[in-house]
Amino acid sequence: MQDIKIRLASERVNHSLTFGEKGAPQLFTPGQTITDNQRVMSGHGTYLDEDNKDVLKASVAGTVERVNQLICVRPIKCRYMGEIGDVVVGRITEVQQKRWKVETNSRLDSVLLISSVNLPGGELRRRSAEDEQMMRKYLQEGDLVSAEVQSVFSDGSLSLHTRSLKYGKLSQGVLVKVPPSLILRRKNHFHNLLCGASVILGNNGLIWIYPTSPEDESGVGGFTQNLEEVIDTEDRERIARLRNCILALAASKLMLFDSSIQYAFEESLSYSIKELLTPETMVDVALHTRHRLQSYKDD
Amino acid sequence: MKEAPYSNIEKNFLKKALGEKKRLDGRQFDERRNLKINFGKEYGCCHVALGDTRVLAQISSEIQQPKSTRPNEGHIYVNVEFSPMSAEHVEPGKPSEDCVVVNRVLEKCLRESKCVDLESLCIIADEKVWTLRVDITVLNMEGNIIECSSIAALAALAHYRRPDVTSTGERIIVHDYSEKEPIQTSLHHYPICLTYAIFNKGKQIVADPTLIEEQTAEASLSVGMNAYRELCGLHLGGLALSDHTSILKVVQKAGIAAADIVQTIKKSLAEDEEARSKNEVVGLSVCIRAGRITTLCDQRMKVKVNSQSIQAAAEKLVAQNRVNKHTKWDDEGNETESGPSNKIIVNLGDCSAELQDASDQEMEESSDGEEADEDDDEDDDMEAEENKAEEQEDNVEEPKKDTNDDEDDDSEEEPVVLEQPKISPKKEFNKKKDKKNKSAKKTAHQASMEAGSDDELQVVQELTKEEKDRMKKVETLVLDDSEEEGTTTLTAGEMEVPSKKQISTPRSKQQRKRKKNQNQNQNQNRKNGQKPGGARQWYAQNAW
Amino acid sequence: MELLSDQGLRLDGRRPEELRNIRCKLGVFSQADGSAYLEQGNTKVLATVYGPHQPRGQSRNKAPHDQVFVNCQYSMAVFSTGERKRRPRGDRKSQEMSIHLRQALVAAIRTELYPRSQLDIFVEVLQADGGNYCACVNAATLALVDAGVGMREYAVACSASLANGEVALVDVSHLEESSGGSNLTVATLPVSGQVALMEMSQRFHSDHLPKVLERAIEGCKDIHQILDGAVRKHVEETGRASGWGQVDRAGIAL
Repeated sequence: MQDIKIRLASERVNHSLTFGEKGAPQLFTPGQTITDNQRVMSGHGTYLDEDNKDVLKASVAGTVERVNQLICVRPIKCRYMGEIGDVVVGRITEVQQKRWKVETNSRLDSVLLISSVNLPGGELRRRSAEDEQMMRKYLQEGDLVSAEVQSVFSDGSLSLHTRSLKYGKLSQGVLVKVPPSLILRRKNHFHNLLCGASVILGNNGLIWIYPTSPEDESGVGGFTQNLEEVIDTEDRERIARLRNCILALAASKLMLFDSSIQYAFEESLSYSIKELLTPETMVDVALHTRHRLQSYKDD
Repeated sequence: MKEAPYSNIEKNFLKKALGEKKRLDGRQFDERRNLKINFGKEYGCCHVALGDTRVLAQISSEIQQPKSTRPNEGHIYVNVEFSPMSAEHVEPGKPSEDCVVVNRVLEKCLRESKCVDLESLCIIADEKVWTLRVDITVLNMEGNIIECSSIAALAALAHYRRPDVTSTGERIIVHDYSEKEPIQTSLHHYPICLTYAIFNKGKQIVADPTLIEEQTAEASLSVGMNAYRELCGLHLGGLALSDHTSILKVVQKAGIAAADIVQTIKKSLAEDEEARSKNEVVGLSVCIRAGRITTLCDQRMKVKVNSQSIQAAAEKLVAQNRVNKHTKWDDEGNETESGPSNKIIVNLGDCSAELQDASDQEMEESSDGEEADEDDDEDDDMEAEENKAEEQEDNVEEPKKDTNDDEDDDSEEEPVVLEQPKISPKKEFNKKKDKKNKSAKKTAHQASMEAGSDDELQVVQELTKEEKDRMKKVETLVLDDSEEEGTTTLTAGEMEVPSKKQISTPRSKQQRKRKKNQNQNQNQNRKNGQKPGGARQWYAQNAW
Repeated sequence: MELLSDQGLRLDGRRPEELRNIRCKLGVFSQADGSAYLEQGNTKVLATVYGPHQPRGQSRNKAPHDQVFVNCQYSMAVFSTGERKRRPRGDRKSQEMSIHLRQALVAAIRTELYPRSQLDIFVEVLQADGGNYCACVNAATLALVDAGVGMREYAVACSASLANGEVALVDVSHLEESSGGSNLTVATLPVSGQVALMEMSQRFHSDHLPKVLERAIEGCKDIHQILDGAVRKHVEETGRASGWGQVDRAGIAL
């Protein structure tokens, strides 16, 4: 017998965690004047009024970030805007002549040039015509890859590369999509969590959870995809729990990084994995995680 | 096909010109293009041309059940279609976005403003009502389709007559137009949708935009106004305007413009009404007749036609021209009234004839007697015409004779040599009779040689009525050329012939003298009172 | 039916310059980039925004090189009107509404920020009680703000009508619309006072146009206040939970 839960829309659980904390920084909404100081430069999320060039107005709703003369407004939620050095997880959408088009939850599809990948066998050689024919053998439409942003084109699209062994085609695991703004920018995005699974936190909001391979790091990467390997039940359960935790944190708009996910995992152990899907449990887990983070911070 | 966008250079140029208060076609900011309204033979068919934008509207009616919420009101449906001939990018099938916009604006203007008295369309309440369908087809897109379509729709609605209906209780009988007088549509008011293009954030507002102005504009404003300055619909779309007071100014101006247009519509309706009452319905062919040669026909079929038939046909057409006060279209497509033209056939070529205005001739001697008097069907006028021909004979212009010389070449090619008569019909007849024994062409040729010109044409002055009926079957396209030289040319698409005709070479004095003598002889003969009857008989036998 | 009673009350008891009750919520869908739900009196509207993203399929050719391609779809749920609506989208009225929606929103969005991309805006009317278009524009604006799309300012729409030939009424309901009164809908950018779209149906004398227009623009300004308040509240709630994206060196959220 399965439990079927029905609830009224008005009784929906509010995921946001409200705390009476220190006052919020100043908010700006589109069309609001930020300053009329002539000396400031307009960054992202701002624009100069057409009629009066001195006035700087906000074009998104968010908080102001000021670096000397540069004023930017950061919205709470927006599409991924890539920067050099970011780690992204993306899906191949097209195989074109000398490159692949990768969908990375950004404004335009990113580009993975054939010269930016490691050929199988690892040798360094010039890409020949044969390689072009064999492109599909390496990466096909629908494959997931992890890559790093090499450069940004003038039109805003990203150029990716997988020139390290830790990047490459992803094989068995679970993909979770969260808003990109919740991913914290860190030095390392590949984590082997203590709970026994590994996770790649892509800056573009795509998170890849996979079982920690017993060998060293070179397991993930290249173009080998081991789809025959059978993942045992425990691993699967861990991965499933992690996924639900991440979704719970994302629903309550908590920042995602290795510690928060780890704590969330630990807090969630009191529930079964299925229960983590109900809104109340999600809020509960998020709350506890936040508490823990706070307490560690205060220490 | 994708719509070809206008280049940035063109757009920038347009914007710059507007900044200097100039429009590309020289109009003022609130000046409209020429509006021409033509009605078709049937009631409810209307063709409107606003500059080069052309739109055709047709009304049809049907009896249907009324809506349950409004049991005593008829319906009116408006449908606008862009014909694929109107622009390169228009494809048949699903209406494009522009088409949907035009449809909606017109629907709002005509339906929701309640310009048609829907209650008058009711036959039996709750059972049968009239449904009027306005179908508008855009034939050519050159900007401002909304305005053109709304004028067409209104004019067609006002023009339309629906069949009269009598109800016998259970049945209703719809009467044919011939049985009972059809009923006019009753319109409460005449709403016109005027369009303005807006540039530079509302600083420049332009009336009746052309296609390039529409494409370059930042926003466009469509205002539905009637003659009482009531707003019947308003639509403003595009980039944001800085100031809404400019819109209010535009609305004021629109009121005046709307009143003018309604006047024009009413005038055209009145003219059409008049024409119908005189049984002179011309239909839409008037608006299609161009004021200039529109096609060039390089390949021509050489058809051996009996000479008389062409002459007669040419004559008849020229006669028609004279009698009918037909409107001519000059290069801009503006109507110029032309009075009854006294045209005389100077030369008949292969499918063409050269005419000349009788009034333009100078007093010069000519013995050619080339003028062919327009011959109407009345035989009574013959005498008069003979006399006229006599008079006119003296008025023949020098160049005319010269051009005849040039026809030498023509006559050699042509299988048909058309001879021009000496003025006296009897004389000509006699002459012909003599030559009849030899091959008609050859002798005619000789005769004309004698006369000093190869290509003198013999114009038939008398024709029986049957002849004339038969001649009617020969069709020639009548086009008016420019009247700089005082000559008009009838041509069926040939360009070479007129040019040839215009080269003039002087005639020798000898030839002129010969001609003069000839004519004098003819005159004498005529004065002797010879009856022209014989000629008629001859032609009756010989034609076809 | 009189639109304005002797005491100066309208059919639903409002004063001529009173707006209907507006309630709104941002971020109602987790799937979409931006979403909002708006109620204006009894008119209920849902709006979602996807993008800006890579144009796919046929839209690939439509994306201009210097602007974003805005794709709007207006749809009315079949249960939204009194009689079941047979065609929720694709009929002429819906197409016209989509076009008008796009016109109003393109005036507000900073289209030059996203060249070659596509922005999808979907609006669904759940309950139609007059002022559908206005509610749609307002909801779409909120959804765009939620999605973080750069805008010059809010695009706000309001409708106004004329009663008894003299008094201008703001925010017309369905009953007032169908009682034969004329209906002027205006979409503006309230801070700068620019007009993005004006739409009028029925018939009234052009002398009355200024005052009806004024009333509608006033209404837009009032609605702008309300929407702005809702956005601030939402941003505060959300931002606070995520600690405003600020983290200390240990990587713990502040």
